[in-house]
Amino acid sequence: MSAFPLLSVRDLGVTFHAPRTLLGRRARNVQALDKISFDIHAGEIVGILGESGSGKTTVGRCMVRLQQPTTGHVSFEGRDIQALSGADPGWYCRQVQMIFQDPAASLNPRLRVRDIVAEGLDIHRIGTRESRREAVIDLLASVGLGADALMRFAHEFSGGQRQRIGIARALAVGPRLIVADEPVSALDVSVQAKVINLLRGLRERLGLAMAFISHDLPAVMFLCDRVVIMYLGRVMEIAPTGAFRTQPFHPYSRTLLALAPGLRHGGEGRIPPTPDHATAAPDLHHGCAFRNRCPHAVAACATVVPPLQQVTPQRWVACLRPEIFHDAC
Amino acid sequence: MAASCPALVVEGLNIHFHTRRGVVHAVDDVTFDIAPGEIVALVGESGSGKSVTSLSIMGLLPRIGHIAGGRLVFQPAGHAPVDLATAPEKVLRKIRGGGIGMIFQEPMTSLNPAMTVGEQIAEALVLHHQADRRAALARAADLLAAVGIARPRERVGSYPHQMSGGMRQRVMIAIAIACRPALLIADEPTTALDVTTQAQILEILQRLRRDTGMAILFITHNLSLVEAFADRIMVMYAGQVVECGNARDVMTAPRHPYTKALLDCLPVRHLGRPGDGAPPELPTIPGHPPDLAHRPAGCAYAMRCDRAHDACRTGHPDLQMADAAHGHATRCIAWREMSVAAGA
Repeated sequence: MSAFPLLSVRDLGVTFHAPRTLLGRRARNVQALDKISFDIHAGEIVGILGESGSGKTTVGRCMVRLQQPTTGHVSFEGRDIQALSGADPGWYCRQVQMIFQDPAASLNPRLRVRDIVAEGLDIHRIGTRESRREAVIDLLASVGLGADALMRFAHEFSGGQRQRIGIARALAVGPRLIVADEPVSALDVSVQAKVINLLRGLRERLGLAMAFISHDLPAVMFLCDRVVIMYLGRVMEIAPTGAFRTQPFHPYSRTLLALAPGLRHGGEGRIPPTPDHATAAPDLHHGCAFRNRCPHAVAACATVVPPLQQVTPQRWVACLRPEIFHDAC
Repeated sequence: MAASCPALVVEGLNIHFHTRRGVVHAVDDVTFDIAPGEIVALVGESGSGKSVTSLSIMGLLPRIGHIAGGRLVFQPAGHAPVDLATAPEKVLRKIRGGGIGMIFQEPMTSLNPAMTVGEQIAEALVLHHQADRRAALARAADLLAAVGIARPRERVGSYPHQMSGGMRQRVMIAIAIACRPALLIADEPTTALDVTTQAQILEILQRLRRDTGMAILFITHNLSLVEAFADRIMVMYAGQVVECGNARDVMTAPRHPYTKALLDCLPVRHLGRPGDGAPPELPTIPGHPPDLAHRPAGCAYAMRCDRAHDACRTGHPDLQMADAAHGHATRCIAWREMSVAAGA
């Protein structure tokens, strides 16, 4: 791992402003992200794990400049991606590409596969017309599709094949980082395995870095080198996958591991009781986001926002009670 | 668990869809029963026929599909058995939401956005039990409390959009159990939900069957989800049940190559011990399921199966007992060649 990260997210905050209602009242603004910080190094697969509403998708959108951060910044090789100007936004598009959850909705139904995959090459004027055609065939081959796919439309393919087309499109411009937002969630179990293998193979072959955004704990643990655990717009824990699995530090991480079907062994063993959903979202301006579902919460948890602190050289945790995992450090 | 009288008996169920490409055999000779208080999981990938099976029980097949053969005998305790396959619409309408409750995957699209959740729960009671509206609304609050919704008396007046996904799914369960059904059909009820919410919904379903003796048919594509939850598992492939047995037996010692392959695909089974370095590639299943309009001769899984021999490509393998004592059956003629530790 090189000393300088490929991409770093620093103190990222996004607030969605609610529109005025008919009566001119303002509904509450939604703070989707609150001081998110993490790094992705070259060739590294980082899992961004969280439940719905945790802000994981918004982080991904900020990383590809689809969402303007309210505070903080994302930088790629030390350059703030919001401050890019002139030809540089185009340069950034070639460095970072995205794969979406729903392959049916993210492929243009009126374009042939050839044109879907070649679109990026055309826009960025990469190569000649002849070489582009060659390139598309190579790209399709690299995701396991034959040249017979070229002239067909997206609807002629199965879900897994469509996701492969989406991956080929992302690879076309030769990116160094892929942001994959739930790329396997919509797929059948046996197809999921094929796409996960493909993503891992691409990393081995091309040295791609990847942000793998998912709520699927086993898939994240299988594919990723490190995990970033998010909850209600904040980072709860960052850890290497292996260490996270044996010894999750944050109480929320422990809950997740205890609940994941099939992983439920050791530790608590039993499903920890979680309070009702209506009370799950506390006042986020003060205190820890997880406090009212946390078995270890104390009075201070309701007043102080726990900062993300480095507890070992590779691990960060946002918890006011380090003593609950201290013996593990 | 083998009570005297099963709540539902499905016998030799065949369902055909008439399409432009020909007749699609969506469900092929499916037989099973569910005892009161039992949870049976129907597991399969998309196109395996699991949802079509559940829709046929409710008489909700799309117009192009019809039951081409078999019986669907529903026999709630204290009532005469009814064959749902031949019963007239009038009878089915009484049973839907009355004797049989159903919950769907998408709690957003299956609730009426223009009615309060209380009214939607009360509707079932008014229709099936001739309850008066006031009593029905009071009972709706009790039902919301039973599915773990806080402040149920206030929540009765809420609209679906004011609730989270997990709460809406609880409302769906409350509607489904309002008339104390003998059978609850749950079609992917937790697929759209978060892990923590999913665990809560499963807990509620477990409690309900314990308290009311309701039978549950749980339809899912997620094998690892039902391991601890279901009593029995039936694995469907290409419209057929290829394996059924006690949940533990099926998960730890699968007797059909498809079940074993499906289990092997799960990332959770390949995490290895920490410090081993990167785990190897995930095993995958080559090829695709067969086209059900042109079903190949022999075993439907033979062309993807790494154990298939010539005998697999002819004839029609029947479900046969691999372990009669535990009711563990498989549609593989070569199941004896599968090692016992296969799925461990």
